[in-house]
Formats: sequence, structure tokens, C-alpha cells
Amino acid sequence: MLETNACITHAQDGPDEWHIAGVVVHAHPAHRRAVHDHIAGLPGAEVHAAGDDGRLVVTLEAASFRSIAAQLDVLHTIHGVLSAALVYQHGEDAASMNQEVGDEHTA
Amino acid sequence: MSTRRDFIKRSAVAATASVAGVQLPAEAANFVTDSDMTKLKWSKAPCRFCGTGCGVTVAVRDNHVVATQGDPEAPVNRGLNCVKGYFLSKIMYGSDRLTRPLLRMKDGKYDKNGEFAPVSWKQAFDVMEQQYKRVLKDKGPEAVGMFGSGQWTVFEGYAAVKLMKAGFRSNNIDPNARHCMASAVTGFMRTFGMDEPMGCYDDFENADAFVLWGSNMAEMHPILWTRITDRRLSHPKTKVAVLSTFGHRSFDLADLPIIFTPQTDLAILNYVAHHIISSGKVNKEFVDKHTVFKKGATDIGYGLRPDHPLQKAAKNAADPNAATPSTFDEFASFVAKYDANYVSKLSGVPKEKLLELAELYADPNVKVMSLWTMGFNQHTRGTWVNNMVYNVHLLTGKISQPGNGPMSLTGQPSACGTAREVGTFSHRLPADMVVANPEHRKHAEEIWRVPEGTVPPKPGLHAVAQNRALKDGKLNAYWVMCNNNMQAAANMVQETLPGYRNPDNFVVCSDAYPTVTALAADLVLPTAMWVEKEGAYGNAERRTQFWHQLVDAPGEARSDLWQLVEFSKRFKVEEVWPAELVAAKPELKDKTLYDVLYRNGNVDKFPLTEVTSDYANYEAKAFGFYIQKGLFEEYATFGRGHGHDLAPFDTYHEVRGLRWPVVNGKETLWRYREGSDPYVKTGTGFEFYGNKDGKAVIFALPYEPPPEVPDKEYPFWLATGRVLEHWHSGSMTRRVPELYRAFPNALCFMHPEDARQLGLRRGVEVEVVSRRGKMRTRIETRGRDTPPKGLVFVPWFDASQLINKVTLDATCPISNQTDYKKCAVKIVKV
Repeated sequence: MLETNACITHAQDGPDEWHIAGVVVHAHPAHRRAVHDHIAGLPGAEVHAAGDDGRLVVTLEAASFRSIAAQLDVLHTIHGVLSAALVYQHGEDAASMNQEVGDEHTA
Repeated sequence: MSTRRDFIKRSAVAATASVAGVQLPAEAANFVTDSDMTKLKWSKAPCRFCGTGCGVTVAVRDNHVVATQGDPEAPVNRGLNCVKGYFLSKIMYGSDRLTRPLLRMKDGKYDKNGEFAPVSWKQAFDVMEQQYKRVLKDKGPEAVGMFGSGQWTVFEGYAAVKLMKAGFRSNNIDPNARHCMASAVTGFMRTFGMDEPMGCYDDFENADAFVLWGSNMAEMHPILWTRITDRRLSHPKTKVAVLSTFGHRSFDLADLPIIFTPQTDLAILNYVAHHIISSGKVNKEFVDKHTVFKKGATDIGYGLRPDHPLQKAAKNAADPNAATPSTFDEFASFVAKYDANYVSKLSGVPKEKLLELAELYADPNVKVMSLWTMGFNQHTRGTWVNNMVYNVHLLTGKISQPGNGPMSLTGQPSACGTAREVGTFSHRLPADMVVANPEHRKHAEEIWRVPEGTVPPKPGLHAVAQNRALKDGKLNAYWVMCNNNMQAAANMVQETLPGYRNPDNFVVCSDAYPTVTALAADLVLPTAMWVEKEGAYGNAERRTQFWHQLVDAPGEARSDLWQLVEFSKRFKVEEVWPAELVAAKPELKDKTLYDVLYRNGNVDKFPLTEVTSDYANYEAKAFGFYIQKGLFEEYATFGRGHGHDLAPFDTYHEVRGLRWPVVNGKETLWRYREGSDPYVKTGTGFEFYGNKDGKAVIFALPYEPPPEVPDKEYPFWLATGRVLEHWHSGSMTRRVPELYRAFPNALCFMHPEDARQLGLRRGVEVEVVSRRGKMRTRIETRGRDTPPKGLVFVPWFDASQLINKVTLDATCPISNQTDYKKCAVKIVKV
């Protein structure tokens, strides 16, 4: 009567999506360089800037929400990472992400 | 030309750099964000997952949440968010979201043994009304009950309390917060006479030492943990002590890691008190002026059914909350037996570690913050252990000052704001008042404009008692809202499920998803969640936070608020109240509960025109007045002028939350201290004004053993708990495939040597068996949780592997909160 498994279903990512996340990675100052290089080598990850105290500005990009989540999980496990905290998360269908917009706002 | 994608990415970089305090290269820094470019509307909301109360901003495009950002203006999280926050924008869009009411039917009619079929709201409420009226007629209000939530908004919790206590005249309403916060509440009430922490999160940046007592903050409160991490790294003399019955991720930062035998936290705290006294570190002036001593009743049983042998053997089970006046000297000799030798032997903690821990509290130059969650609260002596941590802060006067204080953390987003402050417990009323007190009832009845004598004086059934009463056929019309209690309650096979399926009972479950609880019910009502409705939550540091409705709920899903208020239209007072009560206020004759409770001149006071035109508000539109504002303002009259002051409704839509009491527009960071708390009289220094004498209570309480300990047949301790990726029972987070992937099924974490001795390898399938039931899972000997020998840890989020078939429904007899952290099991290879 009580089929507990019935309630475990899976929301699927849409077929064509694009996801972007901005993450602050706090590296132990002693391991900052190694953490920086490690992250820069991950697919879809970019390090944009680094602070003296070991904080790194990182973006993650992928075609699925799932990949971003997996990348987030990986960040936590890198040796020397104290924390990886999300700041920004965005996901939409790929078509609207590829729409062109004017450049005048980019100064 | 650039694309939206470039634009959004640059926004992400700019936001992240700003939060991190990192300078960007000039080219990136000159970028200007413009919502016109991305066609997004950004609005603020608190995260809906844990009790931390992080602020997020939410972006909506075409009535759909597409992005979230840690709110840089939110003082709690300062732009950061944890991995749970990552899933906020996904949580409403699971493919199995409920969008229509579902009723068990056979041959086109309601049948308890029928299959779920979609029905209209009218049909759903017709059947529900019939069932409620049948039960009310046959058995009266005590056979009607409701199980609510610390995830309810303040408005919903308040509407529910009114419907139950003043409408149906039943005190059988309790929140799932009973499972997580009840011992914290009774601990506060016994020591301070007033609920909730005196300090706040600003303590994190001021403390020299942090002591975690039964809390895995690194995983459960990651944003608060970043504040501790920052403090630890920027002030190298900072010490972090982590106490637990098994190893976990918070130990990574621990300067003082301590694994202790379950239940011996009681003895360790008495040792700390003893050390403070014997080393001459008592703050005598503080203790003399601001505290009194009491000796609590002992041998109080374990909250089991009355015929249980352990319950029969307990001497003071009838009055577990009793206490007698005592003195400092009596307290000193009471704790003297908890010396290092005795406590080290009992707890398994080396003497040097015990001393180092005690010194953090005793040293007058160390500002210390104690933090705890379920390790303390889910404890058969949960109220005691809360009292005992206050003892050590009070003996040293380390309380109510920046960096010095005990901080009881919460697990649900509004365990404080809704369950505790609104008083959705079976014994409570708003603002710390209780149904047993005639003055309190009278005050509530006046505010609610109902006749004197409407609110029944007898405390209703608490969570565990509700399940027992359902099984015993004493509670027959039951509404479960915004929680998954079938999965969450202990001992489900013997106690919970038989109650839901008892043919005498009609069980309604309101939820956004088909949870285990929904599937066990007779009627399932689809619910609007989070930003699909206007809401208010209160976090662990007394911060009240509001949000607007940002998107529409899918299909016919409706908020719990709409459901409660709409259902009240179906009852006339004559049908639910005795004739004498109606006669006491003849103008209520022929009125519905809706008229009496929600059109009483308070709740319907604010017209639709006061709803901002920038946002939708389904409920206000449906009822024709600004119902959230009316409910809030009526509710706020309970606390204003009584130390629970809330700001005016509209203020909360502007600010990033305020910590009550809010007096003359100013929030209160540290209560009970002169200069910081406007309620403390000049010249007193400190005043614990929750108690009439203005003094806090130091309690003499002993170590007492747990109800079940490992033996030859069941040789392991079982502790249950959570993992980061899944929150509570997983009914929301389990629907996000990424979370499911990260941690797909519950595991049995075990010490590698124990596994070897049983001939078990990592990944092998086993049964976890107790005297009550069993569940199947797999062995994990590595990874994030590292139990000591003799203990296993099993997370409880997994609906396909229900560990609560195994757990014991023993409770703290004072708080009635279940102990999910200890019972005896054996591990059997399948």
C-alpha cells in the first residue's frame, strides 16, 4: 500500500540549457597557488581574480545544472580549499542565452 | 555584439568579486549590470532551507525563477550562499510537483482503501468537511488535530493556531519543530523564562573560542561556518572545539576534537561547571546578582508509553519539570563528583582534553560561544543538557555580550519565527504564552475577539502523542501540513503508519510533492511553496524576514494560508462551539469560522489597495483584503510591549530583516544586558526579565543513562542525522537530480575495524536491525562521517531506506522531543 519508492522521481534538465555560477573559493593562504592552478584546469571553470587572503573569484559554466553541482562538489574536495560558497547562479534555455545584446553597457 | 550569456557571466564575476572583496582587473570592473539587458526582475527573499536565514535575491523571467544570488546586503550571509541555496531556483520545478487535489476513491466516491484520483478543490473540501463534521459530532474537538511546520510562514502558522485553538477549540496542533527545537524551548523557558537566544550572529566576529556541542556546522550551517572559519584564520589565537559522538566535517577545523560516548555530554558539562568552581573562576558578582540555583527532579523516565517497563520504573515521570530551590554551595557539592577521573572514564575522553575544554569556559580572558543543534535537542535529557550549557555560561557571566554566549541553532527556516514565536505547539499561544494559564487564554481571546472560554485550557497532543492517538483511534480528523512526518517520526512501523491507515481516521496532507506522508494520507492537497506566495520567516538569531510573491504556483496548487482560511468558511460556529459559548457573544450567531477568525476587524483591516502593485498576491486577491498584513499586525499585538516587539508590517518588506525586540525602530542584538536591550533597567547591568525576579536559573542536574544501550544482542549505538545535500526528509532536495547524484542513498557509516570484525566490506548490503524494525542499506567505512568503534551513523533523508523503522520513540519527558541520536542495533549481512 505504501510504495515509498514512488515518490523518488527526477526532474530532468531541459535538452538545451546553459548554466553559469559565480563561486568564492577560500583557499588556505599557504595553498593559494596550487588551488588556483587546480581550478583553472577543471573543465568549465575559470579563475577571474584572486585576493591576498586566499579568496578566488571563480565561475563555473556547463550545459546542465547537474554538471555545475558536480563541479561545486569537486571544489570542496580540493586540498587546501577551506570553503567554496556560491554567490550567483543562473540557468536558462540555451537559445535565450545566445541572444545578442548591445555593447554600449559594457563601457 | 555580446550575448546574454556573456552579460550574465560578467554579472556573475562582478557579484562574486564584490562579495569576496577581491579587486577585479580594470576591464572587468568597469562592467555595468543592467536588468534591462537581461530582462530579469530581481527581488529579495530569505532562503527556504535551514534556520540560518541567509538572504538571497531571486531573478524572475516570464513567471519563472531563473537565477538566484547571495544577497550582498543581507547581514547574515553577506552575499554568500551554500550548496543548498544553489538549488533554490530548481526546487519548485520537480517533474512530480502536485498540481491538483488527490483523493482516495473507489466507484467515484471517497474510500479509505481506494486509489488516489484527481478531484476539484470543491470536491476535496466537501469530503474533508463531511469527515471533520462527523468526527466533531461523534467525539468533539479533542479528536481533531493538526501537524504543522517550522517551514510554515509566520502568517500560515498564525492562521493555523487560530483555526485550531479558537475555531475548532482543539489544542491538538503541534509543529514538526517538536522533533528539532522543543528541548531548546524548554531549556530556555526553564533557565530564562523566555524563549530564544540572547545573542546573535555578530558573536561570530567577536569570540575567541567556539565550542560545538552536537552540531556539524560545516555541513549543516555552512554559511555560519564560513564566519567561524574567517574568525579562526584572521585571529590565530581563536580556538575551535568540536564535540560529537562521531567524526564529521567540522572536525577539519577543530583545534580540540572530542569524541564522547553517547549521553555523557551531561557529565562533561557538570565537569566543566565543577572545574570552574574548583579553580576559583566563578564570576561571583554576576552569580550573586543575576542568578538563582535550583535542583531539578531526577529519574524522570523517557517519554515512552505509560505501560513501558522503563516508564513504570521512573520515580518522577509524572512531574518531570519539577524543581526545588537550592544554593551555590549545594550546587558546588552536587557537581563535585563529576571530577576528571569519573567523567573521563564515563565519556571516554582523555583528561587533558576535558581540562582544555573546561579552561575555554573558565578563563576570564577567553570569550566563548557555545553552539548546538540536534545533538543536544534530540536527547532523552534534551532540556537538561540545554540547561547545563547555560549553567557554565552563567557561572562565568559569559553571556549577552559580544562574543560571549550560548547560541542554540535551528534546522528549519522558521522554527523560531513560526513554530516558537507564533506558538504552534500544543501547549502554547503567541509570544511565549501557554494555554494552561487562564490570564494568557483571556488575553488571546480578547485580541482574537472571541468569547471568554473559547480556548481550551488543557494542553493538546504533542507530535509523538498525536501518532499514538491516531493509532489508538482517539484522534480521527488530522491535517498534516508542510512536513513529512511519516518519514520523520521515530518508530514508524509500530506507531505512525498504523495511525494513518486506521479506518476510523481521515488524514489530509498538504504538500508540494508526493512524499511518503502524502502517499499514506487519504486526501492530498497541492501546495504553493516559497516565492509562490508572500511570506515571513524568523531565523535563529531572532531575525524576522519577509518576501513577496514572485511567481505563480503551478496548476491548482494553493498556499497553506489559502487552504486554512478557505476551509474555515465551511463551519458555522454553532456546528463547532457549544451553545453557551455562542450565547456569550450573540453577535457571532450564524457566523462562519472564517467570519469569526479572519473577518474580525483585525485580520481584514487592510484593504487590497495596500498590496504593492509591483507583486502579485494570490491570497489577498482571493479573500479581498491584505490578509498577510492583517494576520501579522494582529499577531504582533501579542508581543509589543512584552519583550517580543515586532516592527510594523511594511518595514519588513524594505529591510533585510530585523532582530526582535524592535523598539522605537531599533533592533536588539544582545538581550538581557543594560545598554544593549531596551528592556533592561538602568543600573541593573543585566536583567533576565523573562523570570519575575529578573534572575536566570542555574540547575543542578545529574548524568542519567539513556533508555537503551548496546548489549550482546544489539551491540552498536545508532545515531541518525543529515548530510549537506539533503535537508530534513529530502522531500524537496531529493527531487533535484544533482543532489540525488551527489548522495543518492542513505549509507551506514561504520568504523573500518568494526566492519572487518563482522566480515563486511565497504559497499556490502546489510540490515540495520533494532528491537522495533529493520532497514536495508550499504556499509560505508570511508568518507565524510567517521564513527568511533561501536557506533554507526545512518542519515535519514532517504524515503526508500527508512531508518525510522529502527529508531526508538523515546523522548525528553520535559520537551517531548524524540531522541534520534541513540538506540541499540545490530548489523546483519544480507
